[in-house]
Amino acid sequence: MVNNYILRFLFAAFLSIILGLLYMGIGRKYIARIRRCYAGPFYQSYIDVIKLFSKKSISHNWIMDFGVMMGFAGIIATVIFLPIGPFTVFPDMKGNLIVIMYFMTIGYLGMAMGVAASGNPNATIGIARALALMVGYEIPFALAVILLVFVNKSSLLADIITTQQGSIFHWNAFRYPFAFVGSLIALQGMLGEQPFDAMIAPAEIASGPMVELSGKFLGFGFLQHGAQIFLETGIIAAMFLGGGTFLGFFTKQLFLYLVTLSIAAVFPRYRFEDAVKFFWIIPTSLVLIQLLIFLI
Amino acid sequence: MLLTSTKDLKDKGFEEILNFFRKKSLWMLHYCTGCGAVELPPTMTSRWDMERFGMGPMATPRQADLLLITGYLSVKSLKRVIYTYEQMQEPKWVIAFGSCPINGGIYYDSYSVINRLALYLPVDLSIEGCMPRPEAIIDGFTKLMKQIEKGEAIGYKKYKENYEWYKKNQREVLERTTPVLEQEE
Amino acid sequence: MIGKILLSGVLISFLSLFVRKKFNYFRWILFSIYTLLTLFFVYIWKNDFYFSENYKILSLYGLNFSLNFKITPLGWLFSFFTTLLTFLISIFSIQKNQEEESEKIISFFWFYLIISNIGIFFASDFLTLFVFWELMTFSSYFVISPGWMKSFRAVNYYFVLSTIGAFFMLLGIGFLYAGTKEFSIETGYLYLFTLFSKNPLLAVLITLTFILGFFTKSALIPFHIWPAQAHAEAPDDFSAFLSGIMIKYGLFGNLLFLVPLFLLIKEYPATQIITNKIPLFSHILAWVGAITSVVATFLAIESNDMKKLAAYSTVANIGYATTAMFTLSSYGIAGGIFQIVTHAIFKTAIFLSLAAVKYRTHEREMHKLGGLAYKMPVTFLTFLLGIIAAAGIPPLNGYASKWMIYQSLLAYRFPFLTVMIFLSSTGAFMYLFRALHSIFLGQLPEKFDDIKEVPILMQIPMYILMGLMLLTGVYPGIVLKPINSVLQFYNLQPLKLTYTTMFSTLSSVDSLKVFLTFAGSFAFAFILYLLGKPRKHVQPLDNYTAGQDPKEFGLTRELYHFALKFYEPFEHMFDSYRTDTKEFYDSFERKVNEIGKFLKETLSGNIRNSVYIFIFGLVIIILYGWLVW
Repeated sequence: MVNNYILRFLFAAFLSIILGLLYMGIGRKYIARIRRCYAGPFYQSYIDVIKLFSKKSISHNWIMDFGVMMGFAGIIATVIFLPIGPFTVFPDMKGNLIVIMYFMTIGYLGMAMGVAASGNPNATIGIARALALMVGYEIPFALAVILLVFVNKSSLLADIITTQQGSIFHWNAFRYPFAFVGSLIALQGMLGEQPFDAMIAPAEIASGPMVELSGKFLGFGFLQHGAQIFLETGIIAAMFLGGGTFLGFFTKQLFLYLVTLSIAAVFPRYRFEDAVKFFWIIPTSLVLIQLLIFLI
Repeated sequence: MLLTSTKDLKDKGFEEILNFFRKKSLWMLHYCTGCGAVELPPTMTSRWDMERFGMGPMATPRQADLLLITGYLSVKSLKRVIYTYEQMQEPKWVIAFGSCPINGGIYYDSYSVINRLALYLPVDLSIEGCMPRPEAIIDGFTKLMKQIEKGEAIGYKKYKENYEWYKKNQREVLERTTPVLEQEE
Repeated sequence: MIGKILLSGVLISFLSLFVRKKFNYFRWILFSIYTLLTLFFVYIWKNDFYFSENYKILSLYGLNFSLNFKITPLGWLFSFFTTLLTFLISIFSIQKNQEEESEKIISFFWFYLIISNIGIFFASDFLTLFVFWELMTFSSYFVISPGWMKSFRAVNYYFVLSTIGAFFMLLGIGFLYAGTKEFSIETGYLYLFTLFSKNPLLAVLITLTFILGFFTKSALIPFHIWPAQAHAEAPDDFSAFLSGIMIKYGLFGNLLFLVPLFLLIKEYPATQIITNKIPLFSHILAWVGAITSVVATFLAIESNDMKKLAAYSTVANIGYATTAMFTLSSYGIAGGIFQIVTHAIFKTAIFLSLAAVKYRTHEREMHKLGGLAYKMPVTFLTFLLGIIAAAGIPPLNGYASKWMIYQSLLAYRFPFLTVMIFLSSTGAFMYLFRALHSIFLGQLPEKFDDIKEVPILMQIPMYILMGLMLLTGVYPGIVLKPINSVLQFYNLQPLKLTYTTMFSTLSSVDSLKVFLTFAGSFAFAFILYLLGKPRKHVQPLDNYTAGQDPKEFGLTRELYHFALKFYEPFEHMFDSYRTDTKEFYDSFERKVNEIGKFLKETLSGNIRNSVYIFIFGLVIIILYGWLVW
């Protein structure tokens, strides 16, 4: 019984890392093709991570070590609650949305704590921007969650997936198109892709949170970003694209990620307060319209 | 002079496997010292597409593996370059661009420019030309990758072994600037 | 028994006055022992529900004034947790006040705080409630301001607000007494309920007086300013009491009187407008709670004073609890009470760690601090767990109560309230991280190089609080089981739960599994961490400075700490709103001045005018009295 849980846990954790890094590699290739160049092989991200873990690294104090690990652990722990296709680690808690939304933040908090402990102001400026941006994109996303919870009378992702089965037109993306578009824009912010990448801004604040991360610390950053891609596209795929079998689910995730990158490849960057305003006006009103249509 | 030979410092065993990954993912520090920096943007972007080799620019020395000295190096920037180099994490490599870091180039008699970079930092590879064209730069990079794979790119180890020698050289040249700095204050 | 305990408290408090100033800490030890004793008795009363005691004080013109106590499940839950936390704060205070030049009077009045605490929670009629309510206000007045000028101004503001609130409450009690001829709370709301069909206007007015009384105490909009002043200026250990415990009295009042009243109206809905299956009145109050939480969140984001920030965070949390309890479902009421308990625990932890910081550094402005985590790890961990709980992140206790609140809001369809709660709880993340970074992370200024962790006596309560936060987070059943008996007291359906699992109609969550998942993930991360090449620690100023040597351009650690104007661009988003509000208040001020000038001219110019106006007003009041009765 316990062994079973541990095996399931390890399966989900490794799957999220491996697939997340794969999506990252494919995404880099995809962006390069948009820009008419070729970039590295699709397995480039694995090479990068192994290289980073083989490098020596510095840290400034124990909080930095602890924070970076906590950040990664937070995202992995959230993946455990995500229904990955037909698979869940805990059969009795199939993707509780409230738990997922709040558990995700421990990853952000851990990473934020780790890089803030490095004592570089650029890192903290990046974190401040990221947190402000979070207040922006969480509102349309929360509204979309509320809508789906009202529709399904359950806050389990598994139940939301079940009601979408049958035909492609049962997907929430087609039933609630405005909410889907709003959530896609929120996803763009969650993943920190352009135009909402003010927190990273390499030329302005020296890559923000990652400024003092070296070697395996940056490696953890990579792994966390990979798992985060897996998690966040997974949530949207389960909420709007009907989950599916393993292969279907992964394809949907990749599709969502590539849609995000297509927008990212051609856009410049918003100032973060403008981005927050944008989130509060455009995507929020889109989802709100959908919610009002449903309530009336 | 330099104390140890290259053979003793060569990577062996498990490190050799890791070297495969290191050569495939070289991240360079975007630190532009001289006129050679203008050759980098075309190398990075779609015309020559350096990302094919897994290379890319990085924002801070902590994240980077590769330090590029793109052209002449004034004494003032040398101080920053040394500080930056010491902040980079091992394994790390230095590439010098053009003739200025080799012998001073057209600035060979300038009071404010150093003539030979190898006296102050362990240069793993020099790329000829004034300035080297992107083809030459990419050629240089592939050479460095081969060196890394064989475990021969060990400049950072030399720097550690001969730290006193490098520091002495650095001190000699950097001391020239101190009075100027003091007057400014 | 209750009376004896309260009386012994009075005696010990006078005894403590005779302790010499040299043995200052002995007074605090006396107080700790008394609190522990009270805690023990409260604990053994857990099986004596509905046990009551009456003490006749005096009889005047046929009116009997007596103090009546009754142990209700609600009162027991509140009194147990508040006494427990007061005990922890008192241990902290022993050490804190040993070195500081504290007045004899402070510890004396602390006794009355705990006495009135017990009195309020076990009061079975309005008169007892009001007597202890006022005792609380007066004694806290003296504790907040032991003669410091700055805190004097803050405390006056607090005191005036509290007194106005209390007098409105007294007015309401008077109305109810006039109707029922007794002070009992149950007959009070039953009478008020019947009044809603007979004379709706009067009923609404009476309810409003009570709302004013309770809402001023619990700092809901528009009274949300006083905690930022009073909590910030009070002695540091008392801030923990103010924020953790005292602000809850207003909510206790709501639960005692307004919630049963609205539940009655909800059940027999012929009397009032019903929206979303709850009375309109209750719905409006839920909205007041949500708006309070959002406004307080934005105020907290802007404040640079760490105690003010924590005080606004308290107001925001009170907002959640208010919203939840006025949705009138069993999840909502349970979530509200649970939020009150968890907030009491984690906010006490946060304020105690801030008090520890101030004890060592004597600074309150956040940008003057920084990097203290490297010197004070226990304080840092307490604060960290506190903010994780406050942000509602699993597996700590704040998450369990927030989960409950969301279930009530989502299951009974309050979409916009949910969004507002969501907004303020994401915003909470912003200001909590700001505090964490500015105080504990970043660069340690040179002047704090030889700072040490606080003494062991101050660490003990922090350890216990950390344990409590984790315990009530992983085993929410510990708090929710007593809450279930409160729900039975309201005749509501009890929640389905085990010690670790909470169930609702929408989903269920097993906190132990959540906790173990996180622990497992952390172990996983740790193994990966060990797989990488070893890291080495470097000096804080060996940092990315774009190639510049920090020594050369005079960079100190203090300068390299980013803390002032943390969210400045974000704050600028609300500038236009702020100027609009300022203009509104300015024009309001001008108008008040004009009216005042006009009245002054008409009244003071001729004494006869004022006499006429006075008589006219009196006649109106008398006529109104005749018409109503």
